[in-house]
Amino acid sequence: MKRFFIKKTVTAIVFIFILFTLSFLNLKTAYPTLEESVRDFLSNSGSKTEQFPTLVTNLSKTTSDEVFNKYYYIEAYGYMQKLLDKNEVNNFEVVKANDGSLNYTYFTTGPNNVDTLVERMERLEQAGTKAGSKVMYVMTPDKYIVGSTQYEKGIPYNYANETADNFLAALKEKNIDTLDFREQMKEDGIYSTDSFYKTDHHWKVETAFWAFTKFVDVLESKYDLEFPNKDLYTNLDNYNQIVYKDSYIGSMGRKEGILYSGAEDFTFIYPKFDTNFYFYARGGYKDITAQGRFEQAICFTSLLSGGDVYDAANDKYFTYMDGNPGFVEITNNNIQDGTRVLFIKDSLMVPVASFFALGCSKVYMIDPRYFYGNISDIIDQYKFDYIFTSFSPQNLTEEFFPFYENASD
Amino acid sequence: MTFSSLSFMFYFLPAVLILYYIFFFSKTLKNMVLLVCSLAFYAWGEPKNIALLVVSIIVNYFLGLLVDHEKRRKYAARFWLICALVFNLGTLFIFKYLSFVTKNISYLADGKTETFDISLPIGISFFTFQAISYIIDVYRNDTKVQKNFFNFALYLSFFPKLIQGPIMKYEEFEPQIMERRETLRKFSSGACFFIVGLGKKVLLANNMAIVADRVFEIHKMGGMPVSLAWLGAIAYTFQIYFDFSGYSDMAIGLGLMFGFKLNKNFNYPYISKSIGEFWRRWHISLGMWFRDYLYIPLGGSRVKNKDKIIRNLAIVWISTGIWHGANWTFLAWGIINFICIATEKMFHFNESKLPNFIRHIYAMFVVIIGWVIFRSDSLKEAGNFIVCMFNFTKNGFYSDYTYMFIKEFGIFFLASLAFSTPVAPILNQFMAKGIRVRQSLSTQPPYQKKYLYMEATFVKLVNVLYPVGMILLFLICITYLVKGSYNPFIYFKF
Repeated sequence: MKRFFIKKTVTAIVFIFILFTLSFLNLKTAYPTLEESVRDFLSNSGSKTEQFPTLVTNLSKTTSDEVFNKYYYIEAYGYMQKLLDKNEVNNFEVVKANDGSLNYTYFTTGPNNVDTLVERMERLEQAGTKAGSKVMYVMTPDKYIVGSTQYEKGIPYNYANETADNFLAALKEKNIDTLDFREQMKEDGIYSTDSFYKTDHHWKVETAFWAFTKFVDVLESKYDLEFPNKDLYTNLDNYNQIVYKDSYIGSMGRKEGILYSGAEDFTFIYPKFDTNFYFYARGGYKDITAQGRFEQAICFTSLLSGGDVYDAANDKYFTYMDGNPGFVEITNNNIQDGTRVLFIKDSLMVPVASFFALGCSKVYMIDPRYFYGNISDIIDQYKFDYIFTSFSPQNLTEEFFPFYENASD
Repeated sequence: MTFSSLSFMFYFLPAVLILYYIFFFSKTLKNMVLLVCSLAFYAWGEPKNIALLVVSIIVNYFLGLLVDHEKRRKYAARFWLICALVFNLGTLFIFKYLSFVTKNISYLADGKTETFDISLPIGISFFTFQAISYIIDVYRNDTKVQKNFFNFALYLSFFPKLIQGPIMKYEEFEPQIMERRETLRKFSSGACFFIVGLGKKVLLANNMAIVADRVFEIHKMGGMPVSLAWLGAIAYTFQIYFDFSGYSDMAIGLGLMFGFKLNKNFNYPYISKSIGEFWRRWHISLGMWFRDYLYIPLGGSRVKNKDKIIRNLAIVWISTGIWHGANWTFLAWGIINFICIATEKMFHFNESKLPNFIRHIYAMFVVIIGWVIFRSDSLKEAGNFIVCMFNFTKNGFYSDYTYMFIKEFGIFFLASLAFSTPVAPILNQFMAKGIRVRQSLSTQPPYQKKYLYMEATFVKLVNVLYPVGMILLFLICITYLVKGSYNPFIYFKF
C-alpha cells in the first residue's frame, strides 16, 4: 500500500514541477500583452464595472493564445494525429485527402443557395455598365478537384464546385460575362491537385501565373483588350523564379504543424524586364506605400526571408501585395493612359492581378472582408474599363458580396 | 473559467496553491485565500453575475441565523425557512425558468404577451441547492448554524465545487473548514485525480463531442441511417459521462490539494442493470439531495399507499428533469426516468430472475434514448432522431459517415468503453494489494474476513510506469488545450 502512494507522490511532485515551470514560462511569454491589457483597463476613463468583462476577455484570450513555445505543442498535436492515422483534424478544422493535401470542408447536403449573390452581381453589372465598365465574374478553382481529389470514405464534401456551377449558370442566364478557370485548367491539362499547395487553400504562384496568361488571352478575344508587350509579359522565361525549398506551410499546415502536413516548396516569380510601379494599400490600421520595380513595389519580399513560418503574418503567399488589404491602388508608371481595372476579389486573385498590373496603367483591388467603404461609390467615381469580381467557390457567401444589397443601391 | 483551460491551469491554480500554502500557519488565512480566490474564479467566468453569488451568500447566511435563532418558536423558524425557500427557489426560477415560461405563455397567447430573455448564471443550480440544504439542515437541527460569515461564504463558493458540484451537504463540509489536514498523501491523490479528470474531459469527452455534435448536425439537415443515429447517440452517452465525471474528478482532486474531501459523484453508471441503479451511480450528490430534501419529506417509499409512492416518485423525477434545464426535453427525460423507476419498484425488477446482460441492455437502452432527448433542442427533434434510430426502411442502416466516424474516432470509442467500466480501480487494487491468494475468517469477534495477497508480477514495473503514464497524459492534455482543440462544457448550462 505504501508503494501505491509513493507512485502517486512521485506523480504529484513531477506534476507540480511541470505546472509551475510552464506557468512561469507562459507568464513570461504573455506578460507584455497582459500588462498592456491591464494598463489599458486602468487608464481608460469610464465605468470600470462596465469595462471589467472586456478586461477578462482580453486576459483570457492572451493566456490561451500566448503560450511558451506554442508551436512545439501544435507539432506534438499534429504528430499524435498522424500516429492515430487521422484524416479529420480538430473537429473537421481541416481534412486530409488521399494524396496528403489538406482541405477545408464542412457537412452539408448539397450546394448553397446563390440567388441573393446572383441578384447582387446583376445589380453590380448594371451599375458597372452604366458607368462605362465591362463587368465579368472570374471563377477561380476550388482546391477540391472534381475527379481528382479523393477523400477517404465518409469525409464530408462541401459541394463548393456545384455551388460554383449553379452560380455561373445563373449569371449566364442574366447575360453576365463569366470566366471559369476550372474549364481553362481542364483544357490545358492542369486541373489537378498539383496546381495547389498541399498545406494551403491557394493555388501555387506558378498556377497563378498560368492563370494570368489565360486571363489575358480571354480578355483579348472577348473584349479586344490591348495588353501591351503581351508576348514579353506572358512568357515565363522572361521572369526570375526563385524556389524556396521545403520552406512553406500554408494556413492549413500551420493549424496542424509540419509533422502532420509536411513543408513544401514556394516559388517566387518576378519579372526580369524593367518595371516601375507605385503601390498604395489601405489596410485595417495603416496605409502602405511602395515604389520601384515590380518586386520592390508590389511584392513584400521580407516575407520570403524566413522568420517564424508558423506566423500567419509571414505567409509567403502574401508576398504579392501583402495579402489582402481592404483597398489597393497600383499605378504602372510605364504605361500612361492604359487600362484601368478594378478587382473585387479574394486572395486567389492577388498574384494574378499582380502580374496583370504589368499591362495596365491602374489596377484597383477591393477585398470586401476588409474594405469599409462603399463599393458602389467606387464604381461610380473611378470609371473603370473593367470590373472583375472573383471569389473562389468556397467564398460564394453573402460575406463576400456586400454590395448592391438592395435594388435601390 | 473552466478547469480544463490554460488560464486555470497555468495562472489561477499555481497562484492559488502558492497563496494557500504561504499561509500554512493559519487555517483562517488559508480559508480567506480560498474564499477570495473562489469569488475571483466565479467573477472571471461571469463578471456580471458575481453580485448574485454574493447576495445569495449574504441572504442565506442571515436567514440561517434567523432560522436558528427562532428554533424555539416553531412558527417563526418555519416562516424564515419558507422565506429562504422562496428566496432561493425564486432566484432559481427567475434566472433559469422565467425565460422559458414567458416564451411558452407568449406562444400560447400568439405572441401577445411579453417575454424575458435572461442569461443563466453559471453554477446557480448548484450553489442554490447547497444553500437550501444548509437552511433546511439548520431548521431540522441536523447541523449547527454557521456564525462565521466567511466560513459560510466558503461553503457556498468553494471554487472546485462551485459551478458543477458535487453538491455538498453543509454538515459534510463544515467540519473540514477548520479541522481539515493537508497531507502529502491527500495532495498526491488530488493531483492524480485532477490529471485523470483532465484526461477524461480533454481526450474522451471532447472527442466524443465532435462525433455527437456532428451527427446531431447531420440529423438536422434531414434523415440519417440507423447506424449513424446510434453512433451519435452512443457518442453523446460517452461525452456526457466523461465530461461530467471528468469535471467531478478534477473537482475532487482540487479539493484534496487543499485538504478537502468532496463527495464522489459517479460510480460507473454505465454498468448499471436498472434505471434505479443507474441513478444510484450517476450524479450521486444530486440524487442524494433530492432523496434527503424532497423524496423523504414527501414520505418516500415508506408510505402505505402505493399511489403515494408513485406520486412521490413523479414529483422527484419531474423535479430532477427540470433541474437540468428549462426545456420540454428535460421534462420528458425526467418523466421517462420516473416511469422506469416506478415500474421497476412496482414489479421488484431488482429481484427478477432476468439474466444480467438483458437487464444491462434494458438499462443502457433507456439511458441512451434518454440522452437523445436530453441532447435535443426540442421534443420534435428528439422524436425524429429516435425514429432514425429504428427506421431501417426509410434511411437504411449503413452510412459512409458511420464508417468515417468509427475509423477516425475508433480509439476514443474503445477507450471510452473501457473507462466506463471499473477497469482502473481493479488495476489500482491489483497494484496496491496484489493477487489475493488466501481468504480466512479471524478467530476473534467480530470474525472479519482476512485476505492474504501476493505481489503480482510486473507490479514493480507498473509502479514505475504509473507516474510516467500520468505525466504523459497531463502533457498530452496540455497539447490538446494549447492547440485549441474542440472543448465544449455541456454541464455549464445546468
